[in-house]
Order: sequence, then C-alpha cells, then structure tokens
Amino acid sequence: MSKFIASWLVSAGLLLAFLVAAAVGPAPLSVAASSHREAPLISSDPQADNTDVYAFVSPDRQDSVTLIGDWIPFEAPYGGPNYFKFADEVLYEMHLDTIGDAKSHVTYQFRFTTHTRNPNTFLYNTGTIHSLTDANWNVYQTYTVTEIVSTTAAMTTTVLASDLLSPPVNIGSKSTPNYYALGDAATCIVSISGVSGGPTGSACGQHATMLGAGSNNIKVFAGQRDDPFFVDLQVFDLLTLRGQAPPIGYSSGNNIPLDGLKGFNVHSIALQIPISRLTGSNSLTGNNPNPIIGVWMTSSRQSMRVLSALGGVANSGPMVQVSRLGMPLTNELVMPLALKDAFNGLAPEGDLPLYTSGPGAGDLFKKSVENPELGRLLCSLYGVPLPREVGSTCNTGYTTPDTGRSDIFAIFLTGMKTAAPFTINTATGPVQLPSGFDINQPTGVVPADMLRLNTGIKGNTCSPTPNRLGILGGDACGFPNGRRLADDVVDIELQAVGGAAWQALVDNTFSFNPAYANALTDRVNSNDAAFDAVFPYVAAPHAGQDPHFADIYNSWFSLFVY
Amino acid sequence: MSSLSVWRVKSWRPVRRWGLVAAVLGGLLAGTWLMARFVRPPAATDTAALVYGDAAPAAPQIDATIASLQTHLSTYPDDARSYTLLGAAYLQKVRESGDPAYYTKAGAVLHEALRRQPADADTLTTLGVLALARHQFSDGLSYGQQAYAVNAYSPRALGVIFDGQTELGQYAAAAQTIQKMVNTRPDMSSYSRVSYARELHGDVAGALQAMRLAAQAGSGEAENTAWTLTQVGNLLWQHGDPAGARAEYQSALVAMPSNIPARAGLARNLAASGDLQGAIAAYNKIVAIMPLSEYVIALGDCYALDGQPAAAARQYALVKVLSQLQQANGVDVDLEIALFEADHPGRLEPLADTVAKARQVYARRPTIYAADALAWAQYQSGDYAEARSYSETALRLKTRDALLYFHAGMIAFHLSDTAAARLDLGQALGINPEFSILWAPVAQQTLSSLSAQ
Repeated sequence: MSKFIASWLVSAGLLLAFLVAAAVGPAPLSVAASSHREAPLISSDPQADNTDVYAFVSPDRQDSVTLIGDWIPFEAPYGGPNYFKFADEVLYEMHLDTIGDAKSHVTYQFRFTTHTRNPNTFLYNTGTIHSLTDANWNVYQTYTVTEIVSTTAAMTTTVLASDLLSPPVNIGSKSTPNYYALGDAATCIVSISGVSGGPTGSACGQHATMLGAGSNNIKVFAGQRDDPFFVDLQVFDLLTLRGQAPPIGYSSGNNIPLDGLKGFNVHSIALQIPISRLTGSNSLTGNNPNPIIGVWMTSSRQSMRVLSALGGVANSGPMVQVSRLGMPLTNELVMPLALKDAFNGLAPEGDLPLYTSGPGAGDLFKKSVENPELGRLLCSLYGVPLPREVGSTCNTGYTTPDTGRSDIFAIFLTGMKTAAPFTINTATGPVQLPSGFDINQPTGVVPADMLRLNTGIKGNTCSPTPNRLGILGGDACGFPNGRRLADDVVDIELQAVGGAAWQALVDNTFSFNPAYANALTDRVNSNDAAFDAVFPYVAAPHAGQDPHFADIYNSWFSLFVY
Repeated sequence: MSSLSVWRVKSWRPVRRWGLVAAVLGGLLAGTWLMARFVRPPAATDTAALVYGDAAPAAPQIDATIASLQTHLSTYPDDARSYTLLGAAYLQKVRESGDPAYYTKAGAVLHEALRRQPADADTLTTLGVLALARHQFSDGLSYGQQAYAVNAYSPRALGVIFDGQTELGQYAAAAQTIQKMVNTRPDMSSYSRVSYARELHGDVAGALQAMRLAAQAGSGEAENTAWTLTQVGNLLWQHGDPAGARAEYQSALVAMPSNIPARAGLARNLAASGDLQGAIAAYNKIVAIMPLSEYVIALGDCYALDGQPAAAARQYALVKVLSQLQQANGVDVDLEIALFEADHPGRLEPLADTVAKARQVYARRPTIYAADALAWAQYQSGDYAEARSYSETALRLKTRDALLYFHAGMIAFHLSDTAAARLDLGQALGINPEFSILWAPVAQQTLSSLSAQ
C-alpha cells in the first residue's frame, strides 16, 4: 500500500483502524476481565505497510537496475524511546517477473533481527554512536538477503549475505553526529562469481574494497532514509490543486502548494542488481531474451494454528501476504474500497482471474480500471473531458469488451505499446518512436498489476536531463516505464487519467488538450531533499531535532482540522 | 492567463453528480482526517505524564475529528461514508471516555449511513462493533455475518463474527472463525483474538505467545500497543506472576502514559500484595477519569477489606447508578450485575432476583462465564446441586481461570465432596494464589480446613 492509501480513497481497514481499533479501553461495564474482550479490530501495521516502490536503470551504473521499497508511512523523525525499525516478524520481499507471466521468477527476501547489547536498559543508545560497531549503540538490527530463483524446472534458494547492519536512525547531533557517514557505512556490496553465480563474500561501506572486481556485484542497503515521495496532500480535499484559481484551488485560506511529506522519513530497502543477472543469455532463469522486468513488493506475517491438539504452543503457520505494491497508485486510484482487502492479499497471478470473474468483485475490478473513479471526478468537478466518455455522463464504458479506458489498462496491467508515432527527447535530440513500439509490454504478457521496467531503454535514449513527467514529458526512461525517484507520479497519473496518453496508446478518437497539463498538477514537483548521486540514491533521513516537521504541522494540519 | 478557460462547466445533474461526489468526498475526507491523525505530533502532556504521574490527559484528538465530521455533514448531509466515519468516531470516544451516551449517537449516524448505502461492509462492521460494545452479541454477530457476506476478504468482519460467537458461547465456531481471520491477515487484531481463543481453551502459554506477537506487531496507534501489553500483563497476573505483570503494565504506560487499563493492572497488583492504601489511591484516580463498574467494584472491595464499610457501600451504590446509565444507552449489563450481585448477595436486589437474572443471561448467551455467574448465584442461595451442574459447564473448556475453580471448589465443599473441593481449590490457588482479594483468603482457609480433616 503506498502512502496514498492513508489519504486518498482510504482502505476500509485503515479507516476503521484509526476510528475503532485505536481504542483500548476495557469494555464498559466489564466486571470480570473475561466478560467481554474488546481487542483492537484493525491494525494499520506500519512496519508492514509498503508505501512506495521504485525500479530504474541505475544512472551511474547502467548495466544494473536499482529496486527500492519504502515502508512505515509518515515516519516522524523524532522518536524515542522506541525508535522506528523494520519488524523482525515480517518477511519483506521484492518480486521480479522476468518473463511476463505474472509470476515471480526472481525473489529477494529480507529478514531482520533486533539485537540488544545490554538488556538491562531500554535505551537505544548509551552514548554517541560514532560507527556501526560502536558499543554505545545498544539496540540495532541486522538483516539477511536471500535470492530465490523459480523456473518451471526448479526453485533455487541462495543466501546472498547475512548479518548486514542496518544503520541507526538519525536521532540528533548528540547521538548520531555525522549521520551521512553512518548511512554510507551501511551500504554493502555482495560480490558474485560470474553473471548468475553465487555470492563469494560481502563488504560494507561506500568505499569498501570490492571482494574481487567486476560488474557482477550486487549492492544492498536497508535502513532509515528521507521519504522520497512528494505530493501536496490537499489533492485529497476534493482534488484541490493549490496554486491555481478556484474552483481548482482554494478560494479562501492557504492556497500555496506544499509537499505534505516534507520532513518525514521512511525505512528503505534498496537493491542494485546487474541486468545480465535478470535478463539476457546467461540470466538466473537461463536464456531470457525479454528485457522487461515486472516488479512488485510484498510484506508477509506468519499465521498460526489457533488450537493445537496437544495444547502446546503452535506458531507454525504459512506466511500470509498483508501488503502488496507494484504500480504506485493502484490501491488508491484503481482499487475501490471493497476490493482493497482482496488486493492486499492477492498475488499478481490472481489479478486476471479476478478481473474476469464476472459479477461482483470481478466487474467491480473491471469497472475500476476501465471507468476509473478519478476520471469521473475530474470530469464532474472540473469538466475535464475523457476518452470514450459515454455522452456527457463522465462515465467511460466497461460492460462490453474494450469500451473503456484501454490506456489505463495498459499502463497498470500490461505495460505499454505505442499505437501511434510518439516523440521522445533523447541525448541526440527528438526521436520519433514508430507506432507499435514496445515501451514496456512483455511479449504474451499476462495482465497483472506491477511496475514494468524496460532494461533496454537507457543511456542516450533517455532525456538528457530526467523529465519529472516521464513518458508524458517525452522521457522514455521515466514512469510508467519503471519509476525513478524524481518521477512526479501524482501529476503523471492526473494527466494520464485525464487522457494524456490516449492518443499514444490507443487511437485518435480522443485528443488531450495540452492546456490541461498546466492544470492537472499539484504543483509540488520535487522532493524536499535532494537525491544522492550514488546508491542507494534516497537521501539521508531527517534528524529528530530537525525543525521541518513542525512546519508541516503548523501549516497544513491546523489549516484543515481546526 | 487563467486556466479557468479550459474548464467547461458541465450542465448540472444534481442527483447523480452528488452521489459520486459525496461518495468520493467521504473517502477524501476520511483520508484527510486520517492524514491529520498521522501528522499530529505527540501531545505535550503525554510526555509530561511520564514525569508527572498525575498530569491530566491531553485534549483528545477524537473530539476534533468528531467536530470536523459534524461540520462536514451539515454541509453535505447525504454523504453516507461520513456518517459511517462519525459512527466509528463516536465509538472511539466511548472507549476513551467510558461515556455510553455516545453509543446512542453512534447508532443514529450509522443507521443514516446504512439507509443511504445498505450493503456497505464498513458500515455493517461498525454496527457490529457497536452492538458488541453494548453486549448485544446476537445483533453483533448478525452484523458481522452481513459484512462478511458483502466482503469475504475482510478480516474485520471476521473479527466481529469471532467476538460475537465467543460471547454467545459458540466456542467451536469461534475457533474456526479466528483461524480464518489470522489466515486472512496476521496482525495485532487477529493475533490478539487468537490469544483469547487459546486462553479460553486452557492454552495459557499459547495465549501469552500470541498476545506478545500482537504487541510486537504493533499498529499506528499507541493505545493499541498499550492494550496488548496490558493483556499480556493480565495473563501473567492471572496465572501467578505479578512481577512479570507489573513489568508489562509499565511497558504499556511507556507506550501510552495515560492508559487506564494498565494503571488498573498496577492497582490490582497493589491490592493483591496487601497495599490497600496504595490500591485505594490508585483506583480513586482511575475512576475519576473513567468510572467503569469494573474499577468501582474493585475500589469498593478495597475499602471493604480496609475496614471502611461506608466508603465501600458508596462505591457499590455507584455500580447501580452506572448500570442504569448503561441500560439507558442500550447496553446490556445483566451478566456483569449478576456476577457482582453473586459476590455481594442482596446488596442491589434480593438474591432470588439475581438468580433469576443470571438464568436469563445464560439462556441468552450460554458462555462459560454466564454459566459460572449462575452457578455462583445459586451457590449463594444454597442451591448447591444445580450450582454444581452449571459450574461443570463453566469448566467445560478447561480454561485455566482461578475463579472458575474456586467456585467449583466451594460448591463441592458444601456438597461434602471433600476430594473435589480439595482438588478444585488447589487448582484455583495453584493457578494464582492471589486470584481475588475477597476470595483467595476464603479459598486458602477452606483448603486448610480440608487438610486438617
């Protein structure tokens, strides 16, 4: 679930989480503790809540891809005495569909273990943390990275590295001075023998000597970072786009756009993998000519047998997926409330069966993609015309095949192929892609929600300076072809739902008015913190003593709630 | 260069348009309200309470939420989703304040929501929670099942069904339900219910393990963590580990310094350890903030044991007032009153009426605790034979609950079944030697007298 879920069309569960379950008083009038037990009814489970997924060809190492997953929404920089961390009980996974059949063929698993040097104190640190091995750092996490390769023939599991250190959180200048160096020290390299070979060792520190040179190495980082997402949260106040005149912007009160995530942190897991390991003639799954990799991430917790016949403790149960994220806004802009629970537990290979399952959930899913609610809203609130609009109803059809938003279907569920010539900006100037050009749609793709990255589109094919509007801005290396940190997915989605990609992807029955591009934007175009030029690219986290958070509280919170 | 020129104003279609807008509005508002929830920094007094134990709790966030939802609904009176949100907010308010008047308000707005969107799983689930909170367990179960029929993926509907089935004595069905719930979504909500199911079936170690997992699973809300930690504490206390319990209550208070159930756990520790003065002081502070019968009765019992019968009587009288208030707001309190009456026979009403009431409660919800309350009421009125039968029913799940065994032991004692009495009283004290400030001494004395024979 991306962080949009917390503010856009809120999942039923999350809604009730904060309204009903938050309470922990006893049942009124419960005389005996056992008279009636009022346990929390829903937990938001922030440590399992996947807020964002990114996948892009590494800008400084173009023979590799970087995958980044973020967890723990709205992680405030201050904390204490219990600071934010990954959950030891959660299985964090990055899934890669390297073929296009909606199944994971290469999975990376991350498991964390919390250690406490001195159990007699609850303090996170007992002095300044100068290095990752400082004895003053009392509560720390290590993690293990495992790679699972699934082909029709076999499943192979390899531990790539274990006991890697997650860096401390950024507490403040007394506990964690020179924080940048601590994060640096936790950036690790796993050396690999051969293109699809196993690990031969690991070393940590940005400038660590590589164990054996070569381009086969895998990089990994897991720890607190600045939240790279950026959005003006007032977009969730009836699609208010601040900085514009009413009715789009506010007619009273603060109409200045502001990144609502400014000052917040997340916990990031970043992985950099050679492209040749995932696709190509010597890939992990054998000879694989398909250059497009589908990416999604999940969090899972363990179920348990409630009643053991022998009366002993029975904690063995399957890992159950509780969070799933591929395309950044599926769970918010596409999935209706009634389907969010289903989607959270569904694997991508279940998407198409659900989509085609007929009346009930199936038709609801179909309608959500082909007649998306966001589109109806843009149309009814602001008069934005929509492709395939039925009369002037603001509805786009979906009951008969292919009468609705095929562009949304392509972007979210299959990847894109051009239906008309489309001009991109490259290092050597504008290039017109022909009709039928495959941007990121695997051959024979099985429709399923995931981020799809074409590892063959890179280098000089990209815009010389990355365009935050991605494909819509003529940058072939941007979202929805993968997702880079700086891609403005809010604006891209607003414009895509407004029909900006229709002509390129479907036909010329509809033409997007470019004037709308100026209006379909939240006017928050970049992250509050600059991204790094080196892996893991996500900026260092805000310190607990950082004042930016208060600005958000004062300017936004007080505006809306009071 | 106004961009307004591109915005063609569509012709007005009020009904359909508002339907759509209202539906999304609610979602947006919920989302934004939710944002506010996250964005709120910790109240200054939360930290203060860590240092100054008597600090008043911070002004609740929930009040602001309720106010903003009410304002919104006055402008958009057809927004079904906001009615649901407001209903849930009112329920939250009850849990934070103990004021049952909000149940009535919750019911009103939830039915407004249902009228507008009859098949909404969230509304049905919230109505289920409301019914459960009022101890209308059949209604709660029914709402949960309706919600589940609408959304079979909803773990929350399963939670409501589990709670309803458990409180109706349908333990086998409840076990299947919670297995389904935890298989659907393992998290704090399901782990804590697994714990309860295990506890009821006598698996104390398993209950502890599941509740500890629930506490670790966490949630975005400090109260939830405090609740689960308090439950771990209660499990430890009920099974003879007061020191371990104290540590858990203190952890709960670190998570949420103003948490009442954790404070009540500490107060109970004080009373059981013999520090009646400390317990009285602690309980007085608690009932000043949240006057629930559970705490009022405990305070009354402390006064009684401390040789202050008038003060005790005042607390016991307050129980009657509280129960009337609850009943006025639709809360079914009969089981709670039956057990209180059985412990203090004749205080609020003639004992015969207590027995009759306990029978009715058992008929409505045949749980092991309703059976136990009936057994104890019958014991107090001298009807030992029937008391024994219901006591056996109460122990049918082999729940490791000292009170159940204590009641069984006293009944056996009065039936001159010395062996059973020795066994059951021994069990009670073995489970928790300090299981009740009123009754543990009685158990001890009775057991001693049996050994002397």
